[in-house]
Amino acid sequence: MKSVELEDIDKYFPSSGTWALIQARLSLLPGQIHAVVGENGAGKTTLMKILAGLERPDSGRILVQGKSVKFNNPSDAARLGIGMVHQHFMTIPGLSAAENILFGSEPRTAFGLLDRKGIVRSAADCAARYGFSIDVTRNAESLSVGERQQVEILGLLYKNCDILILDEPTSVLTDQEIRALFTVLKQLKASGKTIVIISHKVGEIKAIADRLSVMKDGKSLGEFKTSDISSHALSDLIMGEYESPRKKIKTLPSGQDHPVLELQSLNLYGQKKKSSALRDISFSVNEREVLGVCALANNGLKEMEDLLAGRLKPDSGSIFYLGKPYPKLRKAPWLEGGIAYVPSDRIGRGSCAERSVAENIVALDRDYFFPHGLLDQSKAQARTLKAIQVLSVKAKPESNVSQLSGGNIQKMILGRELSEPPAKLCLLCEPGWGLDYASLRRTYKRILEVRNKGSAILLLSSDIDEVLELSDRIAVLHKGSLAGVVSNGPKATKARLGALMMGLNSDDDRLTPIGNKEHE
Amino acid sequence: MSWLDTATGILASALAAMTPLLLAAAGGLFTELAGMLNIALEGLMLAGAFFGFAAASATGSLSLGILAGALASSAIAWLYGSATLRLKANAFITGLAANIFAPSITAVLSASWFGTKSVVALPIPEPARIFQKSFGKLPLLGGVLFSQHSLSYLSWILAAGAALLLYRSVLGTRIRATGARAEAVAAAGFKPDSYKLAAIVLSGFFCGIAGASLSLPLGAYVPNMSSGRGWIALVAIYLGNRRPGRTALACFIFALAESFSNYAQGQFGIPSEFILAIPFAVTLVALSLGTSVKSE
Repeated sequence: MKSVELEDIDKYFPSSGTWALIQARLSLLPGQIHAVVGENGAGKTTLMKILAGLERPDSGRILVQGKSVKFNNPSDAARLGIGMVHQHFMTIPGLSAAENILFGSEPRTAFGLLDRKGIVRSAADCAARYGFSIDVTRNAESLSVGERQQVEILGLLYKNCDILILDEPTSVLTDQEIRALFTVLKQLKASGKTIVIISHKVGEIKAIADRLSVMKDGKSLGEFKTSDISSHALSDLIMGEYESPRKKIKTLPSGQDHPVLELQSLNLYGQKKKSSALRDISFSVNEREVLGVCALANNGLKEMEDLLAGRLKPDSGSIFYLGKPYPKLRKAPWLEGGIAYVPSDRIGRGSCAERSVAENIVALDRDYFFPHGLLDQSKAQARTLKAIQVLSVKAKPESNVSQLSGGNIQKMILGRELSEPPAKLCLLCEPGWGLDYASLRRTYKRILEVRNKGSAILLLSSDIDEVLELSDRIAVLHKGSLAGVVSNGPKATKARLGALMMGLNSDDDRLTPIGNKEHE
Repeated sequence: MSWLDTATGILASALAAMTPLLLAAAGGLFTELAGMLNIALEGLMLAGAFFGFAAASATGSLSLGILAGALASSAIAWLYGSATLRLKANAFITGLAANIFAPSITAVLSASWFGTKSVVALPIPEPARIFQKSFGKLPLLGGVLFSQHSLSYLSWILAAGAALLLYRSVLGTRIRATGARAEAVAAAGFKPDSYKLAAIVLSGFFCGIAGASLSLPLGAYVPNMSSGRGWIALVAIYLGNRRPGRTALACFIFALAESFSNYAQGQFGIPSEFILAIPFAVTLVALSLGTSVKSE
């Protein structure tokens, strides 16, 4: 059991010209769950990367058991039992879950060959020991985000880390997965592990953390026992304002006679054609309407996103956009006939991390921004400023996206897709992913503004709160089928949606029959 | 000559023509799976052809020739890799440099060692057709398979070895992980660049043997004798979707085109320039078909 102290850590990022950390401090007590809280860009992740050996501090000290240590790389930190699960999961595609868990310490047979059975056995043992129910033989690309997270946690446990740092571990998980994660974290704590979670969600912090440190603008505001601080005081500390109770949205009379997006009996087979990933899906999204689609992981949300993003073709059925067959390639959202698309995978699909913010924004419209094949700087500048203003991204147009924090990348993508003039159709997948409270409020406000201007919004989200907060109607997917479509009124409760998501369709449900459009 | 003899003849020479392609593609797979575009395959092959031939003629041993070709090419690959990874030079430019460097250094050394910058033909032992006597008389495919010289069999073993190394060994797993997600390799405490360098050197090793398999059976070194095979190997990798088995199949198709064009010269009264362009036309068509199938 180790205690850890971070003292007076400074970190300057010359490329973006910002001080990420100014005299930041943190102390961890062994066997406790410690939350590091603060807004997007407060320096939480940078501080934790320093503890995990991924970044080097410009000045300051790291003390483990009272002894000053220097980490040149993550292995140095791992040798002292410190490991980190990143916000953007680092599972390696092309390798199995087991190979990912054991990556770097694989058992081997003669001639440096992998002991493939041994890898599977060790990984499965490790998963069983800590109560994870994951099939370790599966390929990493086929895992859901929740499972990828499990793989990463298992990887640290396998390497005998006893200080586990989790960067916003709940931001991509469903309620059920979050509960499972918290159970696991409590078990790990009981077995003597020290856990650090980076978070900005007050409810979660109250539920799981023993102690917490608050950060703002790269500085430490202090450490508290969670029991000593009220939720209100905590949210006050994080964003300087109390969290107001959630208001149900005012639903508008949607243009029911003007379906913008129509899905007609879509079927999509699963990977090996044994199962169907989506079965007989029909619904339409009308003008001036948010249709929220929610589901647990692996129930078809991802496939629906892939279909509408043009990555998959339906095996039968059709999709129409404004009465015409759905385009194979979308146009930029601000163009006539364009579609806004915020992917659930913000780094892989939503942005190109090695390019500048401006390039990430203008790349959607080659004809306009690249007349004669060359970039028109002034047009690009204007559009970029417009897009980053929408949600006030903290970055310069020329900064590389890889230097932005996760929340800022998400805000950049949201701003790009939801800037003026808004698209007729917006496909928003997990739009609140990794946003802090203040940014989330602004994002939701902007989404509703866009709706009020007449856009049809299809919201694909595994976050029930998000769906309840934004949707006019809510569709629930269970095992690839529509379990129900309900209007967002007093009857649309979290419990009821949760039951639908798990396939518990009670008899007295008065749901709109699936497939029947309401105006028919 | 019956059509059957013609067909088996074309097949047998296709297998021979596949040898350098298969080896170069196996080498290219290492860099490709490590996440790099290795445009230096062509130059590395040429270096292997020259040094392999020079060593074989000096020592009178084919094995030493193969080894020398592999090592010389590995050394050039190491230079190319170091410039790219350590000195952070643009991989395209250093690759181009390697492709220009190889024919120039061989020309200089050829002039000083053999007194000529053009074809060098010296007596070296011929690669044995080791199964010819025992199985070579088998009908049809038997004759095709067992009439090859030893370097072809070596190439099959080495190609299988490359696949084994990539998919079943610790080193290969790290190389593939580097290509798939370098930051995860770094986060696990390893240096992605050292795996990239290893992949480049391995690609040099295989390309060196590929080059030796051109010059040794011919008993001569001809300037620029790789004649685009490094590039075709690269195309085979893309067509094979970076999988070993499919890449080998693509190599066979290209080799078949090459062997057919050799046979067809002077057969149909078509100008030989057109006939000789067949392998390249096949490459072009295959590449465009391959990409359109993949984007479906």
